Amino acid sequence: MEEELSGYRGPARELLLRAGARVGDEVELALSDGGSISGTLMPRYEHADDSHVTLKLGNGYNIGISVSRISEIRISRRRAPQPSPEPAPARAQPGRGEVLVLGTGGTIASRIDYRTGAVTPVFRPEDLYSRVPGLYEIARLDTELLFNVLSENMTPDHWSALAERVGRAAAEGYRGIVVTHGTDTMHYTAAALSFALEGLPVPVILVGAQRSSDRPSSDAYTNLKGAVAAAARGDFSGVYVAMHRSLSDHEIAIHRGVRVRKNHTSRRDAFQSINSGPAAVVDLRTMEVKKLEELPPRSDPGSLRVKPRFDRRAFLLKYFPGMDGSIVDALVDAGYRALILEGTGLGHVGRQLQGSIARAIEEGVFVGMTSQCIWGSVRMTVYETGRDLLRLGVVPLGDMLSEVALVKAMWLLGQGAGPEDMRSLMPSNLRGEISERRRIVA
Amino acid sequence: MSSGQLDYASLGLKVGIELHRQLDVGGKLFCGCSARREEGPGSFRRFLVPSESELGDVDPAALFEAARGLEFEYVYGDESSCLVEADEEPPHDVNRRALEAALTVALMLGSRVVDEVHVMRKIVIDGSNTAGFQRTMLVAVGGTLNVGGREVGVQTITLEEDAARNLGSEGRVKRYGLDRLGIPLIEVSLAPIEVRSSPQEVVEVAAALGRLLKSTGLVARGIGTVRQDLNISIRGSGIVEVKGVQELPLIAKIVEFEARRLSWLLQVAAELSRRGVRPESATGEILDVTDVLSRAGEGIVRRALGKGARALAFAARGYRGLLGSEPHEGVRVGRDLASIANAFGLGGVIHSDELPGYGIDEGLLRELRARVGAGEGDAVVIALGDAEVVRRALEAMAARLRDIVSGPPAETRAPTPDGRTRYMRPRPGSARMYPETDLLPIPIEDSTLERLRRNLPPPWDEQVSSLASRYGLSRKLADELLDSERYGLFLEAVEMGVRPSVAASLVVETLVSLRREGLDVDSLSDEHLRQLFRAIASGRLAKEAAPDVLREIASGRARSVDEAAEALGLSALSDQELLAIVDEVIGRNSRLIAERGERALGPLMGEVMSRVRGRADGAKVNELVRRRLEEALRRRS
Repeated sequence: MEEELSGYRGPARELLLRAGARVGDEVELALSDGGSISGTLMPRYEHADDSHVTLKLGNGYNIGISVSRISEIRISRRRAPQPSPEPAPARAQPGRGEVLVLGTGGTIASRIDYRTGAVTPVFRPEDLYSRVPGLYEIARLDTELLFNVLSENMTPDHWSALAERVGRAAAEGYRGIVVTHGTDTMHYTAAALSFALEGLPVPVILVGAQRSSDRPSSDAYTNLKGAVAAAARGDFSGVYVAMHRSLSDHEIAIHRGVRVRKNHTSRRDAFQSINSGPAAVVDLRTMEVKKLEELPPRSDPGSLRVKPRFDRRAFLLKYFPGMDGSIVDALVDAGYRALILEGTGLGHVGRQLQGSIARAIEEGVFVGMTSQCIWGSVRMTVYETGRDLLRLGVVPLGDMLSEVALVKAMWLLGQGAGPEDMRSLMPSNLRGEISERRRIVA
Repeated sequence: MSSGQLDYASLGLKVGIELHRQLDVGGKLFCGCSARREEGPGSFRRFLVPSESELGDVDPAALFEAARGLEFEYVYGDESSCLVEADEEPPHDVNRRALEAALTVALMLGSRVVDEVHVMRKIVIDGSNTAGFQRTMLVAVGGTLNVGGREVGVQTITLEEDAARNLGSEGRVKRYGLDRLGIPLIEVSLAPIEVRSSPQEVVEVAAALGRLLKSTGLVARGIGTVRQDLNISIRGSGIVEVKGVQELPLIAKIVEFEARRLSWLLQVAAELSRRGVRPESATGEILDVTDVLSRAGEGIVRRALGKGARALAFAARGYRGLLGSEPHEGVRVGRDLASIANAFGLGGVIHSDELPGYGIDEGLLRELRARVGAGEGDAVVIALGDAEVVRRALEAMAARLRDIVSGPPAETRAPTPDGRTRYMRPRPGSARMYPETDLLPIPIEDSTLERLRRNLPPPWDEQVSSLASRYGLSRKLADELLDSERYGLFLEAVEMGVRPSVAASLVVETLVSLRREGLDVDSLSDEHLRQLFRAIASGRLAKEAAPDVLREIASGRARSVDEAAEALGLSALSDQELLAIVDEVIGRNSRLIAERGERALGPLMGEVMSRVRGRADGAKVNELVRRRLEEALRRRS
C-alpha cells in the first residue's frame, strides 16, 4: 500500500520494503558501526532526500539515519490499528445553523497527532466549536467542504462553482456565509464573488490564515471568529475579507472584496484595504462588529441575481522598462479579448508599445489602464504619454486595483459584453471597486 | 522524618541534570537578529490556542496553561527582533555556527551524532514563545562525562531556541521581551545519578559539564546565559522537574529540599491509604459557599466577599491535619495549593487545618463542613474571587490532592532564591512534539564532523595551564578565572592595561568574597566592572579601592563607579599630594625612626596607608615611604 511507506523513495524505500517495515512500526535499527537505535518509523517529507530513514525516538524527537549505516532493521512491534479519529461531538446541534461555512481548501482548523506528526484538518461544526474557544457562542454553524484546492490552484471555474453555491445559500436564508480560503489568491476570489453575486442580501465573508492552524499562535481561530461574527451580526451585505488588522489578536478587519489586496508574504495583517480603510472591524474582546463606513444594508433575498460565468480571455500585463510590443501582439493573436495594463505611475507604458496597443484596440480587444503603484488612481491627462495612450483608445480605470480589474474583465466578458460594453462598463463603478474620492487619511 | 540528616542512599534519590547554555556564535538560531539585550519600544498582544492531539487529549501541561486564559504582550526592539520572533515570518535556515558548536560538544562527550537533524516544534503555551512552540532539534545521543572518576552517562544533546524573557504579569496579561527569544541554546541531558552521600555530588557534575562547555569558547557567559533543570526522584515518587536553576550552589539546597518534600509526600500518601482514601474519590464536589461565609467575622474573608468575591469550597477526604503539617521548613501540602491559587491570579487559599481563623469560627466551620460533606477526618479547601476563576483554580487543586493519594506526583516546580521549590504545573506529557514543517531535515556530512574533530578545543587543564603561564597567574586562580561567568571581562581589563593578576583576582576573588558578605553581586553589571577597570587602568582609582567601590554599588548606594568613588571620597591622589602626606607622617614620627631605623618602615607604611587607602596604589606608597625613610636615616647619620 502506498501509504505504508509514505514519502520514501529510492534506496531508503528499498531497504524498508526488504525489511517489511511500515510507517508507524516500532523498529530497532542495527547500525553498521556498532550499536543500535530504536524508535517509531515516521513518514518522510516529500522533498527530503532518499538516503535517510526517519525515526521518532522515545523522547519525541525525530532524527534521520543514513541508509548506508543501517545493517539490519528489526520490527519490534507493528503499528497499532489507527483509532477512529471521531471524538464524541461536544455539542451536537439540532436543526440548521445560522451561518454556512464553505470550505475551499487550506486548513482553517486542524488537529495534530503528536505520535506521527500528522496534521488532520477539522471542519465539522462540532470539531470547530471544540477547537475554537468562543465560536459556539457567536453562531450555530453548518459546514460544507466545497472543494479542496490550494489557493494558487484556484481557477475561474472554482469562482463560478463557489458563486453558485453561495447564491443558493443566500436564498436558503442563512444570516451570512463564511468562505474559508487559502490566502494567496483570496482577494481574486473576493472580487469574483463581488461581481458574480448581484444584489447580495447578506454578508459573505472570506477568511484565511497567514500562520498555519497547527500552531497555537495561528491567526486561523481569531480570524474565523471575526468572520463568523461579521457574517452573523454585521448589519451589512456584500462580499468581504476578514483578516487580522494588526499584529495583535484584538481586532479583525473586514475589508471590501473589491478593495482588498494581500500586501505581505507572511504577516497576519497582510490584507489591507487599498485607497480606503477597512469597511468594518470586529473587536475580539467584545465580539462587537463595528462599521467604519457606509455599507449596503442587508436586504431581501429576492433581489439576488447570480451571474457566475467568467471568460478567461482577459490578461493582466505588468509593464517594465524596455518591454516590447511583441507580447501584446502575441496575446491578441492568442485570442485574448481584454488586456489590463499595470502601467507605471499615473498610468503609462513605453512609447514602443503604442503600435501594438493600437492594433489590439483596432481588433476589438479592450485595453484598460491600472497602476503598479497599488495606491492612488491613474490619471492619463497629465503627461503626454498618457494623452497619447488615451488617444489610442486605452481606457483609464481610476483607482481600481489591477487584480480586481482583471477579474471584472473576465466577468464582463463572461456576461457577453462586447467591445463597446467593455469600454463603458469597465470604468464604471459597479460594486464599489472604483471610488471618486481618496481621503487624505486613508 | 524531621530536620535531621537525610540518608540519601536509602531514599533512592536520583538526580538528572539538563544543562541549558546560550551559545555565543553571533546572532540567533533561525534569523539574522542580534542576541543583545534590548528593551522596547514596540509591543503587540496575542492569545494562544493549544492544539489537540488526534485522540482529542490535550497535553496536561498545555491544558493547565490554557485554563488560565492568559493574554500575552510582547515587547520588542528593532535590532534584537524581526518578523521571525514575532511569529510573522517562517524561520530562516538554521545558524550553521550554532549547529557546529553543538556538534563540537557532542564530539567532546563521545556522543553519537545523528545523520540527519530534524527540527521539531515542542508545544509551550505559557506564552514564552510567540509561536506557541519552541523549535528544538536532537543533535546527538549517548556519550560519557567524566567527573573525578565517576562516569556520568549523556542521554541527549539538543540545540534549541531560548524563550522570550519574562517581564512579569499584570492580571491576566503576561509580558515578555522578544530580545531573548531565538538565541541558540545547547541542552545537554545527563543520565540520572544516584546520590550516595551528599547533594554536593550533583553540584560537581553540573560544574564539570559547565567547564566542558566553556572550554569550547562558543558558549555565552554571564547572568541568564545558563540554566539547569533538575529531574529529581526518590524511590516511590514521580519525577519532579525543577526548572531554571541559575546558580550552581543553589543546586545542593534544592536537591536536599526536594528529597525532604518527596519523602514527606510518601508519608502523606501512606497515611491517606491507611485512612482508606482512594485517588478517584479523594475530593468532593466544588460548591459555592458564599452564603455560609458571608457571616464570617472581621477578616480577609469578609473583606473579599464585601468586594463582590464569591467563595467556593470542596472537601478533601482524609486530609485533615495533612494540609497544614510542616515537618520541615517549607514542606507543606497547603503551600503547593497556595501556589496553584497564585498561578490563577488568586491571593491564596484557605484550608480547614488553619481554621478557626480569618474570621471563620468553629460554628461556621461546622456549617461549612456540613455543606461540602466533609466528615471528621476530612479537610475543606476554600478559595475566594471571581467565581469562574475560583472554580478552575479549585479544580486544579482538587486534581493535585487526588494525585497525591497515589504518591508524590510528577510535576514541574520552580526554584526559589532561598533554595526551595514551588509548584508550577503538572509535568507535561511526553508527546508534545511534532515536526517543524517550515524547514527541511539537515543532513550532517561526515566531512563536517571530520573538520570539527580535527579542531576540537584543547582539554580544560591544558587551557588552564596556558592561561596561567600567559598571564603569570597561579593555576588555582587561572582555573577559577576560566570557569568564571565574567571571564570575558578579564580579557577586556587586560586589554585596557590592568595588570592581569589584579584583573583576575578582582573578577574571581573579590566578587566571591563580596557574595560571601551577602551582597547581591549579580546586580553588578559588566558595565560597572568595565568602569572600574578603566578607572584602575588610568590610575584614577587604586586597586585597593575596588572592593569598597563594588560594595557601594552592590548595596545600591551608588549607581556607577564614579558615584561610588565620590561617595567614598576616593579620587586618586596626585604624586605631589601623596608625597606631602608621606613627608608629614615621617616628620611626625622622627622618634620612631630614631629608635627603630629601617624597621620603622612597617609602622610608617601602616599609618600612610590608613590615610590614603583606595586613593593611591600600595606599591607606589611603599616605594615612596621607603625612599623618604632612607633619606631621613641618611640625614641623621
